[in-house]
Amino acid sequence: MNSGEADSHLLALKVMRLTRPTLVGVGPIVTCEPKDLPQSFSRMVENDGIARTCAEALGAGQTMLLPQSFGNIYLGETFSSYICVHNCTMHPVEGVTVKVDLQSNTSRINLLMHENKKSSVVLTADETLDDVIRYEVKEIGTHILVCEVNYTSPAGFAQSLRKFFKFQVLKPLDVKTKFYNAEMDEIYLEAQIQNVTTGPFCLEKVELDSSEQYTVTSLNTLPNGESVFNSKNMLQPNNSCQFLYCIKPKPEIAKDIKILREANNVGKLDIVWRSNFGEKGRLQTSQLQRLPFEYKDIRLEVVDAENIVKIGTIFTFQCRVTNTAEHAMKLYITLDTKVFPDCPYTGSSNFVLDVLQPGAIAEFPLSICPSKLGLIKVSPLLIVDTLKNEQYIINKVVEVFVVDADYHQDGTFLLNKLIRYETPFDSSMQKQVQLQVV
Amino acid sequence: MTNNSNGRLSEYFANDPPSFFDELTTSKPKAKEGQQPADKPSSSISSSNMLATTFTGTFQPPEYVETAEAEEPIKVSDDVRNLWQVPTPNEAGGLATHLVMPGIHIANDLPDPISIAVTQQLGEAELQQRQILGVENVTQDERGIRTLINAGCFRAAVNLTGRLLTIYGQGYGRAGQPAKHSPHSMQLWFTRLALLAKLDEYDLLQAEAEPFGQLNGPDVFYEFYPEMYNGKQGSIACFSFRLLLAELPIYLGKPHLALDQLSELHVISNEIKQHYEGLKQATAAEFWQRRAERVLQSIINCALMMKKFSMIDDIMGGMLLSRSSLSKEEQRSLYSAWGRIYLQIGDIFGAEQKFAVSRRLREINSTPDLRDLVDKGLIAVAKNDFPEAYLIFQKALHLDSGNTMILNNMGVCLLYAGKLKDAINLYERAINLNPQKSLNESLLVNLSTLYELESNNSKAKKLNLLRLINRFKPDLTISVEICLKLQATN
Repeated sequence: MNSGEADSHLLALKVMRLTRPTLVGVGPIVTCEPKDLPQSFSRMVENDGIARTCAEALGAGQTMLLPQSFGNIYLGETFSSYICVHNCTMHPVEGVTVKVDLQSNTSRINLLMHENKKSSVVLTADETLDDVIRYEVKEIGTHILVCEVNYTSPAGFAQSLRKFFKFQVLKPLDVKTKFYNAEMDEIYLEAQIQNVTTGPFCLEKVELDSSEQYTVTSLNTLPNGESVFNSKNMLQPNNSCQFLYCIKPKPEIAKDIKILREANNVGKLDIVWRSNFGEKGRLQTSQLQRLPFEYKDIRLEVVDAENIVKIGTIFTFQCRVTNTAEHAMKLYITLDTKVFPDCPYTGSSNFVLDVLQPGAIAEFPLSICPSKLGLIKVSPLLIVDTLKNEQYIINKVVEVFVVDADYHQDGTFLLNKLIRYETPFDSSMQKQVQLQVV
Repeated sequence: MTNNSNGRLSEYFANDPPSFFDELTTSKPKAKEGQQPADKPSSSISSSNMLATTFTGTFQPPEYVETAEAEEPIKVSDDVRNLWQVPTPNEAGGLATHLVMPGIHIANDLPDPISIAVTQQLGEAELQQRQILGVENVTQDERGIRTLINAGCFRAAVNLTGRLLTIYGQGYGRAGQPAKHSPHSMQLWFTRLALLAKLDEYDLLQAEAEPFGQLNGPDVFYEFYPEMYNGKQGSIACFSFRLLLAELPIYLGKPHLALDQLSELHVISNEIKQHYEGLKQATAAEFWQRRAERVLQSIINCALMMKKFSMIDDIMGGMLLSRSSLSKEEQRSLYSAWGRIYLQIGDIFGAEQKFAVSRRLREINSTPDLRDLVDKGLIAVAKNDFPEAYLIFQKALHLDSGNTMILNNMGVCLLYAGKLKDAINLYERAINLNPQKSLNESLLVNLSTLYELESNNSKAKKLNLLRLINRFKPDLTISVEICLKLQATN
């Protein structure tokens, strides 16, 4: 270095971003058969790597190449960079310190080099002070790596050398969720994860971490433990992958309708992916909010019913009704077989329940006698609140499979609990989710 | 951040994406640096353990022993080898328009880019140190070509094919003029074009390959010359030539086209295999099965370029590895390559599974071999455990000391572990020990990158490498400017 220059420094500062190395082969693979003129293209002098068998002519190399460009960096990935300070003079330089900061739109983080080393060092001629810094990026947008080297000139003056490196942190994924409220207080969550990077990546882990009020069953593996996705969780750019979860309130929550209504946070999606040669990224969604259970004034549950009955026998099922309104009710229950012309069962019922206070429940059995084979639907059940003279129609109470008298079944499946809401809620709206670094 | 630098910031990066060594402060062009490092090495160089002046050796051509008859894994007759359907001429165009009329596209020998770079960067005098095998040093025949290829002197080999083709009347300026084809002339063309592909000389390759099309002209079949070949039938052009021409668009950035051509080649090979199966000629069927599989591998390379990973899975699992007659070692190398493809897209679990299959195919109770250790080391890299990867590669080096690929990978691990100086020392030692072998393209790129990161003296150190390349390397398959990153301002 020319020491006459005004901005010349005794030290040189070099920075290189460490993206993953790339695996390269040995250039175009040209092969020939032994009978061909060249006999073989592989050079003896430079038989690089592992000798290929004659059956292999694949371009998947084993040689690692250092990064040759800055590349892209995505939210949730780790930014790592090599920082090197070099004494380019013939003399020792004293009092050398390096300070590295990462400035984002909202914060400035100090990144430490050589965490165990003392604060200032002496660099002898041609010596370097170098290390790798790492930081998991937590924000999208412009970031600036600020490197500052301080040292003492031979004359004893404090000198400072600064360099700035600017880069953009991009968004790696889009997550969209859909909730469905199903029977028995169950909620189903469909989470669609889209790769919005420029290269393919693999989803290494996609888990729903449930909140305290809920338990989660992942429905993305087969009974043998394999993933439902055919080969691997690889996602090409712009492609999406859909995950399904079944969420249930814990028993102590489910039994109390008030707590259940307030328990809106079901959990967070935790996503880990790996891209180029294992580059890892991790993101979490914010707390996902389930759809409100839309109880109107009453809730009807079928708590005990058989799945299969023989034709000609009585099918009895146990119903439970809850007063979810703020006022007392006196309910008049009607199961009418004459509403539709071809009712597949006989056995109309009419009765009145005792007065139900808000939040109170009442149980009652209903019986019908199926007259047709196949799946029959018990419907409609008419409930009239005689105090307020309001009428509720429950269109699908329960379904039962009616079989012939000589039918033998291996085992009886009992549906221990079935819940029907008076209006089926269409919950198929999709929602975009915010992502954050864990 | 000061206002001052903020102002410059936006100026610098208004439109451009950040590049590798982007700096926001304006740096003065360092034109003076590295101008005359040849004569007076600076202090930093003298401390380096590698100096061109300490090398007394030059390029040593390897011993080349001509084998009388190259060994074929499956022996078949010429009829089986050459079988190919003569294309039926379409009705509109006559035969003559479809004839193959090739010619060489350069008047002189291929220039030697290493000599050019040395002259530019170090001066004419340094060229005296370049004593590599030239076209004049070998016999002017096939044997000479093989000697040159074996020594890695690809450009000289290309030049020799040019001379021999000129004798056949297919030399410079003969493209478009009627030519007579023989097995020998076709082999010369195949060799020439294959070497051009290896040398990255794609413009010349494309121009010279163009007249051949997909070798569907009637005059590249024996049937075209009934009096000359005594009723012999089949393709004069060898199968490797067909394969090379089919996969050519891969190198020219048109993998889709290559995929179409390779698929057609695969279909035909398969048909010929079935033809021999029908005739109950097992050896001939096996021979063509192997050819069909070789085409599949090129299709996989195509798919790799197009990032069609599911296609690779289908071909690997469904076609290549489903055949039981593959040797264990062949299966191992395929599984290992498959695992590395998984690693590239970040599927560590998938890669581990493939590597495990490869490992299990090794002889029971034998110790892990080079392949196992390299696979394991790459997994450690993918898991970001560079110190562990380094140790594994080090073990591998014990099995094959001086293996350039392993040394290269160890250096990369050292850098990621924060040991820049160690990485440079490792590479320099490797070059010291065996310059001819170690000065390969990837190691040069890596070492030049490390030099740039280390100091402002990289240019001088790179020129030192150039001096060694001048002495020891006949050819690089990537241009020397790229290998040494000579354009970098640093």
